[in-house]
Amino acid sequence: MIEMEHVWKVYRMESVEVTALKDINLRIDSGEYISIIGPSGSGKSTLMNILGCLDKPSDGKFILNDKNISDYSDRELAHIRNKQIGFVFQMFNLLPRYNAIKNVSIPLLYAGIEGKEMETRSKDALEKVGLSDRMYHRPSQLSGGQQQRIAIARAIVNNPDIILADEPTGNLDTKSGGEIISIFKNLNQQMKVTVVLITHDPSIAQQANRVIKILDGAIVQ
Amino acid sequence: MNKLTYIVTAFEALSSNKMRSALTMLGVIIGVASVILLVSMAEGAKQYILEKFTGLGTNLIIIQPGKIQTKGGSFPVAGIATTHKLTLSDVKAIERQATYVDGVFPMILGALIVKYHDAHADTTVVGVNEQFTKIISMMPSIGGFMTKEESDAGRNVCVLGYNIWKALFADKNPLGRIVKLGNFYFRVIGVMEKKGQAVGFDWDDLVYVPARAAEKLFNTDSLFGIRAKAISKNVINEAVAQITQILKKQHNNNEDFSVVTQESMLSTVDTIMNMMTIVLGGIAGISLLVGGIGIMNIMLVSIKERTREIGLRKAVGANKQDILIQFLIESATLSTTGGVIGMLIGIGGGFIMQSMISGFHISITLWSILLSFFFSAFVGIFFGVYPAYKAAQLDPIESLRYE
Ligand SMILES: Nc1ncnc2c1ncn2[C@@H]1O[C@H](COP(=O)(O)OP(=O)(O)OP(=O)(O)O)[C@@H](O)[C@H]1O
Ligand SMILES: [Mg+2]
Repeated sequence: MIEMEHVWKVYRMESVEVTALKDINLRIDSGEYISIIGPSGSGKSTLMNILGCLDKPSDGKFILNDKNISDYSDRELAHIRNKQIGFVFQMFNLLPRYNAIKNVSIPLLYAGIEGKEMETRSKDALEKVGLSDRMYHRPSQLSGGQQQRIAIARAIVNNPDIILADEPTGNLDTKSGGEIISIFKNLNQQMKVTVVLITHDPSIAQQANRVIKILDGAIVQ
Repeated sequence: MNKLTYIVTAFEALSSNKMRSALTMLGVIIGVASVILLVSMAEGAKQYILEKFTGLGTNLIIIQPGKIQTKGGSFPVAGIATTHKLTLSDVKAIERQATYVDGVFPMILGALIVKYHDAHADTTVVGVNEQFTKIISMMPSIGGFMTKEESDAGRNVCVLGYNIWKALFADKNPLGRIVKLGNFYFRVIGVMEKKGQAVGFDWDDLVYVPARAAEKLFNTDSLFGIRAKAISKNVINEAVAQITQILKKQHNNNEDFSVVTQESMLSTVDTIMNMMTIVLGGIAGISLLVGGIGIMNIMLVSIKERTREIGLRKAVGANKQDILIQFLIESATLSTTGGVIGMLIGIGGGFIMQSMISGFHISITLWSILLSFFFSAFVGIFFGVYPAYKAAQLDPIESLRYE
């Protein structure tokens, strides 16, 4: 469960102050499937970075699974990202020199899971996204949709509570985008993973349980 | 991550850019190879020189005319003016009075041409006495050395060095033949065993005659020097003191001569050669340092290029320490791999040079190998710290956005 109370995010650059998030109050229950929409620059990614413990709020409380993590150290945040959160990015962010299975297993390295268990868990994750036949391919040998599926496998390999996806279909055509969305749906329904998905596409947003709309750093609905 | 995983990860990253890794390692390879090669050469030269000196026999005491300044060492530096010279009566005095001395012989030196019929050879004639073979560990391989009677009477007899025998007689028996030294005729009584090069001259190019004969030959009574042998290692200092006392009395209480032990000369040589080793090793060490800077440079480039990778690793759970270690291990892997390759090249190159160049000696020392290996590992870590620290400090959000 995620709770945000009066969360602000202000970027200070020399003389200018940019307020990216304004007094955000938000509650996301475990197992929800939520989409976040809003125009460019409205603060969606900023919100997601805080949800994913990559960034800290300038003000306010952020409670993740009953723990106020506003004052956690970098090291503790890294640990939470590793255990509880799975990221999926618009740009896939796969390592080009690694094949699919090695890319998927990166989070396990930092969880201290190695050897045989690492291999079976990575294979399982690839199976869940329907890529068992591409385990030894490198990203450059795969289509955009397939690359994004590897990224999803990487996000789920360490059994996170929450998947955070920032415009995961932004670089894909409608068909492979649809496939990606249905993978998220499956993960949400079958594995009870909380999914938070940022998108510009209203038809994708509508498929969620709940749509949160952001405008100029504030939730409007 | 366990240690092995870190190393595997480092190898994967480095082998994904083989050319660059190889070129980066080249700096370290050259550095380590040259440290090992130069140190081995210097050590080899040192051992060669020491071996040639100790080849003169043990417990040797060297007496030279002239007082040598003995500040900080006692290497006999060439001719500081002498008022008095050493003569054969000094040798006799030592022989009669010095109880700690087991043997003593004079040396009169001169360059001459030695002739036999049509054959001739350039030679250095050494006037000695019958105790020469007892003090210097050398024996004639044909015939014998001069007797006490021949020596005392200054008979015109000679013992040929190996090369001189070959030059004048080919392989024929020279015993009893008459050779011409300058304007004098000498009967050959022996040929010295083959001994080879020493420092600055070749034993096999010498001709030995009685010192009294050499006095006539060169029309001089002043000796090049005197050599004596202490009865044992334990009394070598007593022997030196005794000789000094005897000669002082001979020279009207003037200490216008120098008495040094071979050992003290060797320790001076040792000091000089060690200095050379350190200087050569140090120069090569600088190239290793330059190699380290090359590693730092490449690591900085690599971290720039892999900014998104670093952001991704942080997003999926790597903390600062994980990133720091990952890049430190990469630079340490570069430098130690380079170190091992350089080590093999240095050792191999040394042996190849030794086998190809005659008179070239190397001595590969364990300390130079260990030192250069650990120094290269240290260089990799030292010059890797800054890039790795920079990588660890990167902000994950900005890194993931980096183009
Ligand atoms: N590191 C930063 N420093 C300063 N300002 C920032 C920084 N990151 C974001 N901002 C500002 O915060 C605001 C929100 O940015 P954010 O990236 O969250 O928008 P977004 O909704 O994700 O936009 P898009 O749909 O284009 O991805 C923007 O005005 C942006 O300029
Ligand atoms: Mg965004």
